[in-house]
Amino acid sequence: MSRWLFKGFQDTHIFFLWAIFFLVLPLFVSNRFIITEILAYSLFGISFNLMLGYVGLLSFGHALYFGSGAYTMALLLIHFKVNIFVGILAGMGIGAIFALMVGLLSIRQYGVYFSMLTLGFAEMVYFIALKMRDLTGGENGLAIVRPPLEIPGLFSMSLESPLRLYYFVFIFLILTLFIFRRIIDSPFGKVLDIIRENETRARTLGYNVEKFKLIAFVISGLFSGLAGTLYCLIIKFVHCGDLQWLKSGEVVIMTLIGGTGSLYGPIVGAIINTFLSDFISLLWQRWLFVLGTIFVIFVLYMREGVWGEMQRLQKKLGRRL
Amino acid sequence: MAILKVENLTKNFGGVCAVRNVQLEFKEGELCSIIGPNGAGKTTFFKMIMGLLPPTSGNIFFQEKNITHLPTHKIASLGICQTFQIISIFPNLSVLENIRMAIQSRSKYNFSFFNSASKYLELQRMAQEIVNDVHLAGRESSNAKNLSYGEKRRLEIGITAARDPVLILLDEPTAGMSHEEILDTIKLIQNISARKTVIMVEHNIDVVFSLSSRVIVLNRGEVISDGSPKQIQQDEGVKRAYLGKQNDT
Amino acid sequence: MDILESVPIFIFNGIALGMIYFLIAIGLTIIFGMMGVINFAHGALYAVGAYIAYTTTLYTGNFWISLAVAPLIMFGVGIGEYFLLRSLYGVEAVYQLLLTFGLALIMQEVTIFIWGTVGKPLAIPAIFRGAYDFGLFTYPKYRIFLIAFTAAIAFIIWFSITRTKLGAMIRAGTEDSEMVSSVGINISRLFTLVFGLGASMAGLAGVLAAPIVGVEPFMGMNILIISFVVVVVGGLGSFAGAILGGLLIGIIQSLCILFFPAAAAVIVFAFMALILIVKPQGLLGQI
Repeated sequence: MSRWLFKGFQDTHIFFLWAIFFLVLPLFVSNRFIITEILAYSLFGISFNLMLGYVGLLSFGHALYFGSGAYTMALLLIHFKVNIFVGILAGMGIGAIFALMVGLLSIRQYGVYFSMLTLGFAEMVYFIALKMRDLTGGENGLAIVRPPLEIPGLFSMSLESPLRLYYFVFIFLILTLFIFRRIIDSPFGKVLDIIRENETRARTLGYNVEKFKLIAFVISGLFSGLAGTLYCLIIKFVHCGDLQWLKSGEVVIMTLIGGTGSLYGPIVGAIINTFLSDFISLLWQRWLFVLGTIFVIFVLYMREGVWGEMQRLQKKLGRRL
Repeated sequence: MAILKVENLTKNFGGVCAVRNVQLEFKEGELCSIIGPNGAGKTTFFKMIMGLLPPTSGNIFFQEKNITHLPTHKIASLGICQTFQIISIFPNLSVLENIRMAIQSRSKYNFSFFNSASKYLELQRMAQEIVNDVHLAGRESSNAKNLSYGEKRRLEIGITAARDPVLILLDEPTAGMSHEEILDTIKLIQNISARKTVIMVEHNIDVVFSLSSRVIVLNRGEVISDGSPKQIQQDEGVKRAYLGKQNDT
Repeated sequence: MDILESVPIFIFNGIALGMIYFLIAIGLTIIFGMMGVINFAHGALYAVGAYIAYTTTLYTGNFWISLAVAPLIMFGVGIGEYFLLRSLYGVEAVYQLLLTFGLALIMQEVTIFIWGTVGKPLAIPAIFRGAYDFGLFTYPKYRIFLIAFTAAIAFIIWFSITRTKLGAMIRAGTEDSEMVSSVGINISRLFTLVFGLGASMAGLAGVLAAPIVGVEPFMGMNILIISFVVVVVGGLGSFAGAILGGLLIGIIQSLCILFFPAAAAVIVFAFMALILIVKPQGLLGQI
């Protein structure tokens, strides 16, 4: 039994375990709002981590794709009362387009330079959004009315019930996890691996490293946009802060603490981050200090993150049995 | 036909001139060694061919095509591949995966998203063949970082061979090897050089003489001698260059 | 105020701003050139310097003491940050960046904890209150002092880098730190010194800027982002690039506020994007 417990956990098992975990979570947690938030942040973290954990590039402006996805959803709902799926697809598209634009200018730059540039571009859009107060509501933001889950002509179901909303977002998380698993296992994903392992060798094997990085970046932007649209639907609100460096920093911190080495690390990070921001902030306003300190400790001593350490532990125990 | 032509190639680093007006032609099928004291510019020369370093001036032609300012991956696609002085492999991938990625780069599967890479049995099979060719059979599933030094070198040669390149650049392929390993590597190089052009930077004179039909001597960035191994042995200028370096240190 | 009067004023504003940017950028760029670390905490060092100046001036009533004390304290903070970074030696560069970001966040939160979220003012020292009359326009005395003072600092830095032995080591270290350590120079001590100096420059910038922009918790991150633009435009690792980039960005920003205020926040980034397209290594970049 214990042998199976420690040796038998392959990726498929883990995928299903997480799926089941989130499936039954509402039974144990009455605060549906928080766990739905966790779903959206997990999605954000997973798409962000494609760049950090798999390509090996730290993007410090990922809030741009998240926030623009959120704003796209909000603006389309407010001005055009679009169907929920239109909003989601549009949000994803905008996220991908921004990623493409930033990527074209930044991806050629190596490592830390790239991080600076992504931050710069995100801040640029943030300031523009702040200025366009009439459109974006500035720091006060925009409130939305949550649209129903609807396919015109077929059915319409209100998402006002927190439970229904939770499972709606849950489906997207599961779909994203599934898609990312396939991407990572694919030939494309393997190329990302070797780019991260030894970029020069990848080049001398004929791989157009820039092209692969750019495509990965666009995918990351696509799904960060998705996370943004869902987040907007959840909190029924979007503001310029969703585009700002603090939000970018949050996903970086969250992903590292959770673990960059796998698909599921960011989920753990999202859980921890949401817990800190929603609970600690009630006790002490300076919860960011707590987050920052935990983050620094992880960077110094536990770079694998919580999930990574758990995997290491599992391997060690598995070997001893 | 000259498969590789280097015209007036120069590389300046600030005040230091690493490569100075090098003019060389390489024939198809040659196995040529480049030797010279440390700091002679050999590795810099290779880097420029491979596109890893831009020349200060000069041109490089591969199969009549000007590759001087092409990006590395394009140069690799044209059929040039290199092994490095400091072993360059994918440490956390298995031996088989290392080689398979080299083969995969030639295939059209690279932008495929939704298929499991391991399903491409053909690639696996070809990779296994090369694993056997470089005497790493049995080690396919080991992580590359766990290999011994000699095994890592063989892996790198395997990766290069897997690309099936037209021109192979070897930068000190026997560095740090024991005598048996060197003999083994000599045989390996002979195997993979069949019908290919090979340029090799080497310090080990035995290796140079047993493999090369031609030896080029570089000193302080310039070609000071170019001929058959026997000619080089008797060249006074070459002896001075090596002895001079010895006196300096 | 008509344009004729405004333009020189705003250009000088731009120069003053640019010199502040330079003080921050020079630390950033040299630290990066030598150690390959982009110090995300550099803005926080600037902010903490400003806050220290605020408190010191509050208790001593003397701005000049702050001008001396803050950079000294920041030197110590910088060394502390360097020691933390050193424990990440050999680890991939990205983690060093992450560490500096984490420290920046902590520093920001600590300043809020100690001084609150509301901005604090710092009075211009009495000697430099008021303005000089230049005929065509009048200009605040303090800003003239700022420009002159930072120009002097810039000259001292330039002189040290180009004419002293220490400067030669720094320049060599920027180009090839491996070689420098093999020549027998204690590279770790050199790095420590450089980091400390960079931090004190940032702190100095904070003190100098405080009377003009005030002291508030987010000033660190705000200026850090612009400093990134400055080093990108000027070129990473280049002293002249830090000056050129700083002045260019400062003047562009300032003139934009005069002529096209709506675009003021954005023009800086647009300019960065332009430079990236035209000359990716920066105007004077070597890397």
